[in-house]
Amino acid sequence: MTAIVTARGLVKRYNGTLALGGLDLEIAAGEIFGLVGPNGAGKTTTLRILATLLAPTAGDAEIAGASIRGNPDGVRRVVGYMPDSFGVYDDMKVWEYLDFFGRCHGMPADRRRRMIGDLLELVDLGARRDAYVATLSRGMQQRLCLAHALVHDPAVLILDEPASGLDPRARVELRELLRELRSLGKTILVSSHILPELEELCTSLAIMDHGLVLAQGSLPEIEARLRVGAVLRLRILGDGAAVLAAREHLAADPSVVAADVVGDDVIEIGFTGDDEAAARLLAGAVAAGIRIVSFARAASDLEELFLQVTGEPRAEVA
Amino acid sequence: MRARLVAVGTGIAAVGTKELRGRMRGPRAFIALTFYLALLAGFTLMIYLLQEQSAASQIAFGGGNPYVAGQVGQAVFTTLLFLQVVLVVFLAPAATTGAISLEREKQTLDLLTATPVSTLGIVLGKLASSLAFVIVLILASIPLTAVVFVFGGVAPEDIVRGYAVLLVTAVGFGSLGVFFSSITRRTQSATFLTYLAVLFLTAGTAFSWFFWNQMASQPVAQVIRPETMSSGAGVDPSGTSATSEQPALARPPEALLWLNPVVAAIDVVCGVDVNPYSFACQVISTVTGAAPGNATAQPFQDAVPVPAKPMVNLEGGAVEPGTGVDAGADVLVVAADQVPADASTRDSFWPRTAAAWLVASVILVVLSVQLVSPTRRWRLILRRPRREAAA
Repeated sequence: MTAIVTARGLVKRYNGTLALGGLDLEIAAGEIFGLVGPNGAGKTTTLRILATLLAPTAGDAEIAGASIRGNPDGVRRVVGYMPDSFGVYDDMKVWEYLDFFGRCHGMPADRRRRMIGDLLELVDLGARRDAYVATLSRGMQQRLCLAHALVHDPAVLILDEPASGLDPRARVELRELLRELRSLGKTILVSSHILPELEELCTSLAIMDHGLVLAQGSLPEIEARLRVGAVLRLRILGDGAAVLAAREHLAADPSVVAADVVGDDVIEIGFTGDDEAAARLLAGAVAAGIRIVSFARAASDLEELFLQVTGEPRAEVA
Repeated sequence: MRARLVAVGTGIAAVGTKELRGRMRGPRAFIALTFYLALLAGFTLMIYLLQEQSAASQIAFGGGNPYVAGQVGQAVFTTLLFLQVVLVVFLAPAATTGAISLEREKQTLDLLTATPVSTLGIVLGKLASSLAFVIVLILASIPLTAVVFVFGGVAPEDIVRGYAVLLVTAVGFGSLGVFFSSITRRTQSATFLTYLAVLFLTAGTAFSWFFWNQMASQPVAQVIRPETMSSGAGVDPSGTSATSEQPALARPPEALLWLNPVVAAIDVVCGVDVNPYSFACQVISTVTGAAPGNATAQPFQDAVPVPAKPMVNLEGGAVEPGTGVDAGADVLVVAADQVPADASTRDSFWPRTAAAWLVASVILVVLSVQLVSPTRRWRLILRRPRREAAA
């Protein structure tokens, strides 16, 4: 696997405020790479720098061999960018919108025509070809905006919070679309402040805060490195006593750091073991006669993860 | 170099096509064009009726002259020119103040700058497409202006001069709008700043020039103590000449008014006028400091060869200041030595306006490119930290 995106020591200062403090990033070709962090962590700044919309104060990055400083046009030719809060030209028709960006990339008319048909098919807007962009739903506009980033068939896609403001169904569709794009050989860089959103999608992640990458790798790797367990949530069938008994049993397991009864019949477990250990825990509990209705990893969003991290000194984390 | 030019051309084509699609869609453009022409036609008709009335009354009182038709033609031309200058001064910035800021407001500028399209292409494409409609308006009025040929008194060259001023004004004020649009985040502030600048360039410069001129030509000290006037250089019997050694204040620089399209239009009108001592020519000679008008002792005289004058227009453009009248005009002008001043003031101002606005437009476009380009912005400032990082 060769790195298609490499950033070295990216620094960005806005009027004295440090937005990025020497960010390093390496993304292998063909990955779906998630950039996670709370608001203000520097995600958008990073993505805008990589999309050559912002000049870094220091440092450099290369995308497919083109430097963002030395050859921004080269970068723009291999990168498709979809901003966080995107606008659409509402006085245009759907096909005109894509045609316009095709022209911006200097594509000849016949290639544009073919590209428009293909892309509208891909993002499932073929039927709305002649509709005005303003009449599309939010989810459709999002897909159209994604299509605009694909106009020139870029090797790298940079998507800033692509799922924000979408309803669950549109999110699922978006996820499917991104998987499909990955299968077409594209490297995708996505940002989000919601970890589970990326957890299912990304092949690797970087967790950012205060303009630095705190951890980078696949999610299990990161969890292992941060030594932060997942949260398991169990629903127990039985009365209060049965639930308390179950809590006692579960708390005895060496991988469990905490077990709390959070509802009438729900127990939350701070769990530091791997999947193997989790399976063993479940098997043990069932063998012990605990009637388990559900056993699942709780959707631990990023804030929660960070709350767990805050106790540890920064040096150890990074 | 060629690749760059191609990139710019691609940008102009892409942005221009997109903008024109949006602007020309629906009945808006047609309604605006109709309204514009109806407005001009209405004013023309009114001026014609006024002129007709005044000519009729002159004849009724035993006056009148055989050139009355020419006077009507000149009045109509003057009206159309000034009206259009005013309209263009307001319409051209209105068409362009949203060029960049609207893209910022709609958050579409990022989409555009993330493509390899050149920033110069974006700015020029925006400017060209915004101005296209204003230019269509201007050109659509040519048939209306051609009405003056029915009356005479205005040469085709005068009309070309008038439209040159209009087009340059459109380009210049359009660039001004684009510039302020690229500075600001909101179209509202862009519009406000642009019209502030428009006000300054028209009324502001005119007022300050004439105020300065008034102060320079007649210092307060001279008005208060008449003896200083008599003890002055004594070259000029009128004593109010700005060229006398007495005044502490120099004449205001003509350049102050170069960007003022109204003064340029006055110059064009002066070129048409029968009378070199007409108001328009007086204004121009005051501004340029040329002979007639500028408080010279010459009284308003009737020696001006009225009939020949409109014919001079056909040749006057080639006349060098101070060298008199060229051969072609010499034949036609009855008393050439009596009108050299007029001939020398001809075309003395508006070409400078045209040149000044073209230069200003280039500067404004270059500045806009710097402001729009995400990575090129204020390169001089950005370079410093880069060196630090290298060191």
